[in-house]
Amino acid sequence: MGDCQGHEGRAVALLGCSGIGQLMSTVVRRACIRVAEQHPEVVLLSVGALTGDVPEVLQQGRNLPVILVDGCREHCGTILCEAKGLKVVSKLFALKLVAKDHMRLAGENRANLGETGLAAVADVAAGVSAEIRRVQSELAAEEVA
Amino acid sequence: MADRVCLQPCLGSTSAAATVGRQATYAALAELGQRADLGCAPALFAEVPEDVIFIQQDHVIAIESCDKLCANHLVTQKGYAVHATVRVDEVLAAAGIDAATLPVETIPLDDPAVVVVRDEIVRVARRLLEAAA
Repeated sequence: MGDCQGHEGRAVALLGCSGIGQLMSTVVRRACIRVAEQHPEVVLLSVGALTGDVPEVLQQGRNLPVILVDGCREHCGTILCEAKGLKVVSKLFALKLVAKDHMRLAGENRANLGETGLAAVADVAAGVSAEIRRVQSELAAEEVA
Repeated sequence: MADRVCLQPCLGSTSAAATVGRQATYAALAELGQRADLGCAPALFAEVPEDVIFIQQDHVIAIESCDKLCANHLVTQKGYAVHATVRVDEVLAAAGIDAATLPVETIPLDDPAVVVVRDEIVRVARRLLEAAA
């Protein structure tokens, strides 16, 4: 269970921008998939399904606290969440989660990340995991109060 | 008539078929070169100008990973037409590839699953471009 140990049972939803044009979108997508694979209590939402108005995915996003990760300055994830009425409790901007040493992504291939791109994925995954842990702690504290 | 295609993948994050579609889209884009644009679902939803221009001006090819047809839904909801659809799940099934055995995070561009879907996207794109010529 890794980072979320002790906070199990408090389900949260995770939405990464997962666009396709920007390299950072690939970084965010891969990071969010990794986090969801490590934490069974995290429900990974898909931008595709949200733009497709898939009812069960919309329902998850409206019922669970959502942690949103925007990938680029267009902030499409934010626009999508607002339009679909998702319950966003935390908004992260991927670039702010990437260590300075891993920001030089020029030359990276968005379809096949190299060393720096994968390091950026690890940074974003770590930042998202930490935020999940923080949100879960907050939810647990609210339950006690 | 349009002389370009816009490749508009579903961009799911929870299935290997969506990952195959994403990777095959990148591979097809490389093969089609200047005659193709890459459509991004969240950007189109947010009406980022270049993504709107792509679906206004190009032949739109939706690359769908399942029967939810999310890319078709998005493009039509925005008031535009999808000119062809490539169903990743159907292409894989026809090739005898079980998507459930593939990873969700990423799949190499030379994986047979990606190659077979890439080839189908390129075939459909060339057909549309030739018909428009």
